[in-house]
Amino acid sequence: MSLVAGGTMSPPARRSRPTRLRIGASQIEAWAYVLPALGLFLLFELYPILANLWASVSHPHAAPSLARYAEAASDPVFWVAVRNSVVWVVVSIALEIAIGFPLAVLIELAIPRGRAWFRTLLFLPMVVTPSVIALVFTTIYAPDYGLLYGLFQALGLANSFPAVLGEPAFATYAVIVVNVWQWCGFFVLMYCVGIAQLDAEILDAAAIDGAVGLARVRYVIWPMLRSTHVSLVVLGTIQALQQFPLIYLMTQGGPANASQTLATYIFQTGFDENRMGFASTVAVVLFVLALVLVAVEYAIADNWLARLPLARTRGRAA
Amino acid sequence: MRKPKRPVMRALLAATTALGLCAPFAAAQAKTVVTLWSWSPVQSTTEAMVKAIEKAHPDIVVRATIQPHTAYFTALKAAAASGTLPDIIGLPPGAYTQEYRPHLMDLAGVATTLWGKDWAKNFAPALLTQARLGNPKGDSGFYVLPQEAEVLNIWYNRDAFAKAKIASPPKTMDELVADAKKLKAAGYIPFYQGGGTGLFDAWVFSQIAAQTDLKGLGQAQEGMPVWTQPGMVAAATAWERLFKEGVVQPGALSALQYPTGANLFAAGRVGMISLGSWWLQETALSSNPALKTMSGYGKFFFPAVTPNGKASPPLGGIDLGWGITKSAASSPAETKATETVLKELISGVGEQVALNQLNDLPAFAGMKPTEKLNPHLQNLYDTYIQELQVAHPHAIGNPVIFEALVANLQAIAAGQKTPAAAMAAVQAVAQKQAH
Repeated sequence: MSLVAGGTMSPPARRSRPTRLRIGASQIEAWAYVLPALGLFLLFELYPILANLWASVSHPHAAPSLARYAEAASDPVFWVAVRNSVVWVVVSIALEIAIGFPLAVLIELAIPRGRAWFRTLLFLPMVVTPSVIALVFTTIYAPDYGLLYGLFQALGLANSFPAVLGEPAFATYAVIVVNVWQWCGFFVLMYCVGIAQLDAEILDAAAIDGAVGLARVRYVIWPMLRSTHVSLVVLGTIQALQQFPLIYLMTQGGPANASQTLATYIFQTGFDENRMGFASTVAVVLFVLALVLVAVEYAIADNWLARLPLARTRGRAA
Repeated sequence: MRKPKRPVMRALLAATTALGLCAPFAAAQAKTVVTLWSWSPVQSTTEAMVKAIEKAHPDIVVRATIQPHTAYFTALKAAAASGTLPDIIGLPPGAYTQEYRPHLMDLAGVATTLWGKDWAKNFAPALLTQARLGNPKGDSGFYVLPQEAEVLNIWYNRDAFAKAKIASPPKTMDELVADAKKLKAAGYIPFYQGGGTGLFDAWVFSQIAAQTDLKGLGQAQEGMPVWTQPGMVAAATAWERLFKEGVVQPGALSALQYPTGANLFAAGRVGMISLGSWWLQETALSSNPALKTMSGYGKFFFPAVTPNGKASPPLGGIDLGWGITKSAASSPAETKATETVLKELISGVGEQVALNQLNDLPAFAGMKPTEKLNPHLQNLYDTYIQELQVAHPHAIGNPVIFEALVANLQAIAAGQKTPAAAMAAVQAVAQKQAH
């Protein structure tokens, strides 16, 4: 209105007025879109986190304190759970990448037909419910009547059959193998997508420069999938730390707490032992551990992966 | 002439349909709905019980939800936190009942209304003691009343014993070890132990401890730190022998008592297994003649761990108790309906249905199966009833001590700890809890 009242409207002024109005309107519109999601985030994400934090320090008849954190620090089972959680992250991701990446390379570069069929086949375990997987693998591992035992028996090695889920030293790794079996397909799929999106010209140029076969995989494809590696490592970390059903259904955190992770220990202390305050403390530790591990992974990604051959070349070119 | 009729017909049809749809709701509204959650009895038995109760009380609708043990207690915790508990909940005695005590009514008054002022005479004293296990000092309230009771024992497969040339159940630990070898040689799993199911680890240990230190076991169940007493360590040593001397199957620590162990035992692959009186329910659930008549199965108590000792005395107690939540009734009609359902579950048509399926032993005096049982089954049932009258409690009241006991029993079985060190670890937890 004021501009119109001014008599003449210069072109910049005419441009600025609708722009200013548009920004204001779009801001309101943007907030209108964001607010419901923000409200849900505050209600179902932030509030539970804060409530959990409060539950970990509050006591029914005493002032808030860090007593439960001290209790956790002196609890040997808690440290077994921390160690196993880290083992889960490291071993799961290492195996999933070690199996998933070569399989993806084979599917994308060595199989001319039927790639979709292979991808689907490898992805199938992802859609099977963990309770079914746990039941199947518990039966496979079972001594005396399990599938693996039958194999050992056929080979005349029945007496050497290891009862993996019943051995404290093996139980965690036996469940990790099942987790890797389930999640490997996801890694394969993500790597397949990454490889399919690589610039064909760079691959051709690399081939002209002599990067063929394993050299092409090592010096061209592997470094160019940097963002895929980072995404998978972060997702794999979160998945491994959150893993509960397989462990609970296959070992219940045993034997003798040997396969306890922070996720199962939260359930045991909270629901079996009815110590919700202590369970909240363990949950906070799990939350912090996830943040720390992801931060470390990003730091490694920034420093180590950036030094890979192609990334260096691309960095200089940039 | 025809056209004007169509709207009228349509309106009539719509009205009839609407009325038809409303009718069931109107009928349901005239009845009082009682909601009930539990993990036991099994779904089919519960459905039959509900049907019988609704038939006896046409003005009551019972909405029963049965879930597996873990899922049930997770759902119950969430419902308690959100104030949406059902009217009646199934609970084991001890720690679980204590957890929900703030949400439950003291049933002493209700029991007087339902069964008269001498109502307590209808229950074995041990059951009423167990119903109050863990109550705070000065609180003599009954927050659950038992429907079913159980006795723990070792079951054996008579056919497997015959094939392994074992004449009778073992009387001593040495005989148990020898029989296990014979069963293994005959191709059977000698003694199935679902070591991954902590409850059954604790129960086998408790059965042994009942003969090595009965008084100490009772004190330990009450939360007293007595785990390092010689009798308790002796029980842990006998527990270790089961694993070291090949009595239980290899890999027992990863095995589950239910469903794996029970299924293998039912399938005739197992020689011995620690279960209890509830195994009789297989007579209603199975089509296998050996199970249907129980002719293929026999029971004994854990054999003497010392050469001149005695077998374990019976351990047992409440299998399933019912509590009424404080939010159950908001009107006299609802109160009456809830109390009526409780009565039918414990001493009426509901329990009779469960009892006829031999779901477990009745907690209420005078209840008997009305179905005719074969002599072997009748003998098993009668001995259980006698044993229940003298049974010692089988539940550990404190869940933290219970978890510590299970973890340490598993550590013994895995060879990670000596019996003495494991009991010392449980003792440390018990002492901490006592403070």
